[in-house]
Amino acid sequence: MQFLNPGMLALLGIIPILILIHTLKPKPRQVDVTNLFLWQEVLKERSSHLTFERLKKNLPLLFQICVVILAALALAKPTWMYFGSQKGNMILVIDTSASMKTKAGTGTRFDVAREKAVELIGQRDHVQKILIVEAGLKPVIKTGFLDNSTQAKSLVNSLKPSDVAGELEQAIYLALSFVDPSNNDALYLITDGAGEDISTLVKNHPNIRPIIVTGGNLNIGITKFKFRQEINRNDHYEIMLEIKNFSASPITCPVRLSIDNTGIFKKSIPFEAHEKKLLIFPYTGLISGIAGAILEIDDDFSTDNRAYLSLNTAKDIWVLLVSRGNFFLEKLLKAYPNVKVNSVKEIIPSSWKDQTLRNDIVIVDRMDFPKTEKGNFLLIDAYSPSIPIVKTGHVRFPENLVGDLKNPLMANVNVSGLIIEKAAKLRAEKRLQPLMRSGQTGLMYAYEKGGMRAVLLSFDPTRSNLPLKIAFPVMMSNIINWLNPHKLEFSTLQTRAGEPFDIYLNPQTDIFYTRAPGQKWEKQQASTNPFRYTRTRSVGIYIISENDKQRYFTVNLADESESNIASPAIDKLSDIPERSVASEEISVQQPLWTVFLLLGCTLLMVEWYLWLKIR
Amino acid sequence: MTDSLESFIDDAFLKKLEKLKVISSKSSRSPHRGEHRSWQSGEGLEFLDYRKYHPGDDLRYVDWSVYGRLDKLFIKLFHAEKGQTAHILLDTSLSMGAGNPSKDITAKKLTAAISYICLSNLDKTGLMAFSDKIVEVKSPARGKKQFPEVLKFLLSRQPADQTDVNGCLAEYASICKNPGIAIIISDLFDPNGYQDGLKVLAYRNFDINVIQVLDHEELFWSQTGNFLLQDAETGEKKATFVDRHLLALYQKKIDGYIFDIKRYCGHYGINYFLCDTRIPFEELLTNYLSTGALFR
Repeated sequence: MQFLNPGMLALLGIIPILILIHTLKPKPRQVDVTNLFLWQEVLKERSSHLTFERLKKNLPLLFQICVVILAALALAKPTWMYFGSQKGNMILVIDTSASMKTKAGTGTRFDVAREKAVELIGQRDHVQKILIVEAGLKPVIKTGFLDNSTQAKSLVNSLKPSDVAGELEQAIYLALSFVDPSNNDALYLITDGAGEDISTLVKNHPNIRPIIVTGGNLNIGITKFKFRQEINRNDHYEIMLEIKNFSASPITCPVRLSIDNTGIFKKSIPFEAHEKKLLIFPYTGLISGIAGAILEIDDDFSTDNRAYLSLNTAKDIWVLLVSRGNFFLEKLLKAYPNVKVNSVKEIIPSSWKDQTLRNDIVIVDRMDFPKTEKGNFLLIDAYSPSIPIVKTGHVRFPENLVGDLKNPLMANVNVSGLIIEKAAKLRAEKRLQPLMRSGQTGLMYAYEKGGMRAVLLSFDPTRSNLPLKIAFPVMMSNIINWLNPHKLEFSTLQTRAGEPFDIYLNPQTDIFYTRAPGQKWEKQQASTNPFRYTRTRSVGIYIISENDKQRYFTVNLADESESNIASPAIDKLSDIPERSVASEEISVQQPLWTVFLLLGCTLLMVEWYLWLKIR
Repeated sequence: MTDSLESFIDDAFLKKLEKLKVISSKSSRSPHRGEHRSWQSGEGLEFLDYRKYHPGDDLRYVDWSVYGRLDKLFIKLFHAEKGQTAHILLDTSLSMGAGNPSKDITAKKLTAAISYICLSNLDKTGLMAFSDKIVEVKSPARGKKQFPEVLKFLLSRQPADQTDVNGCLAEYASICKNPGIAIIISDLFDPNGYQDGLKVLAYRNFDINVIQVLDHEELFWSQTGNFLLQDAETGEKKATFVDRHLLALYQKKIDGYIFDIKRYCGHYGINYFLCDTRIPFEELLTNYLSTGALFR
């Protein structure tokens, strides 16, 4: 037995103190008796078995000494070293990334991986427990340590590969945190090795036992698919398609490009081994709908043979301007090509709600407005009970103006030289930090809660030199972009498999529906705007249904390392010599402090029980 | 103490006591006439035997019906009715002052009550107070008019000195001219024992009754802890820790001590009564002592 913290044995010094305390006796109480001669006889009789009595009398002291000894031993971290052939627990890391869908024999690589996992579970010793970690986009611990093989097999069988690029390294690090080297635990990594190179990680950790599943090496895939608008030519676009042959032999691959099922390109293109080609296609005309690029070839990994883009032209933004007249603002709004302005001079409370919902952005200029729950607002010295910012007074010529340039609303806005004749003095909740402030008050705030987004300016731009500065259009552009970003520019709504996609919703939307490829419609609660959609596990076209209007976004694999199903990293992993199964004779350090602690607690309980009984 | 004694002597209680009679297992040998039947023949009412007529016998006692049948003269004999003498021997040593209520009070109440019973039955009643020596003796006297004297005797005595049961009983046996019923009221806590004293009384043909008066705490000790035990008589001290085990040993010891007294008394035909001071006095007198055949 070894002590890892022998200094704690100094606690044994408490024992003499305990003995000293026990030798201190309370002053006896004097009692008159009439039969002392009988008492003396009794005491004589007792002295005949005094040894046992003394022991009994000093039992608490003995217990306390034992407890101190046990506590000192426990704190000294005793360990018992022995050589054993005990099998450790099994931690199974099963790769469910897209590359595991590669054909292998009659099934896929994942089918082979599943078989190997089930086989491993079948070989487990009855003392071994199993932990299963799914290595997809994010590592997921499927269960705690199981000692039931049937349940573990059932869990493995329920796993399915997705279309996402895996984060195998993260999964390994997560699984390693459950490995107890002193217990001879083993991490079984069942993967095809495609994706990031983890061979170094595997080599550095002897507890990892890689099980490489192979099969299928013919793959050609789309690694990039993009649309872009030509500069200063609104109806001229370029389609970029990047294709790579991941195979070790030349391939000729038919490539088809279409927009809304209308073919715009179809041709067979030859590829050398491991050759990557970037294809640019000019396109003129209106674009709207789904653009698709398809490689019409039957290779071993089909997930990257198709890619889609949901194309959206810039749409008009409807702005409701509630103002009694603001020359500079009106002129600036007219300058934006896709901004349509509805102007009113007064707020009519009865129709206010409809007006705010019918317009994308509402600009309220120097007038208060009723409580409003949803909408995108630019407030110029305008206040509402819905926004926790209160006007408390005025400041004339506020000084020391500073802008928070890190905020997207103030990006590239230069406030130096800005002179404001009069600004409102504001009091806001502590969580609201001003984006632009003077030494006396905050001048600009952004507020977002539920379905409401608002930007508040505490001063009238016409009573400042802001409209004469470059900062004015830049700031307004930032504000419109922040309030309604998804309508400003031409966009290709796509994301990579496994990555979240922000769905911008109309302010009045409470509930909308989504549909993933090959799945059923899902009801979604519009808790935030934009709504972050995370279930992008499959490659394909996703449908959003909002207020009976449907729109689309697409999910593509677009991951070169994941498409590389015959990566050299796989060979590196395969080169690692096979590590024996966890049954070798090893020196095991068994910590014993818990035993001593338990014994100490038990003794304390016994002492307490005896005290209750004897008192 | 005075209050305690006087409090129980009310007319109603004394009336109850008058109904009781101290009984003796031995026939009285008192030379005086009294109310107790004697095995000696004499002038009584209860028939005893026949004997042949001798000249000089009182012809009034000839059974003429027997003479008619047998033609012989026989004299009818009757039990003589004798008076008896009660000796109440009261322990007034320091140890009797202990207890709650004190054993001394209970013992004096008992003495007063037994005295009244005897006096009301025309028995001569004598008192002797003892500790390590005979402290005071009240010679036996008859009649209820003696009762105030008895009370005066009891009130004048306070617990004092050590105990010498053997010496005092032996000395009283030697000086007593007319043995009768001896009622010893004591706690019998004497390291030197009590046996020799009782034996001497028994040899003097006393009809002995022992009433051992003990405090409840002496009978059933309940306190535990660290104690300095001080003897009430000698002042000797002994420090000890009383735990449950020692309590059990003490209980065994006191039970054994009482058992030994009972056995000894049984051997010498002595009536033994154990009196716990917590037993209500009236109950003790009318139930316990009557059941034990001290009274009838």
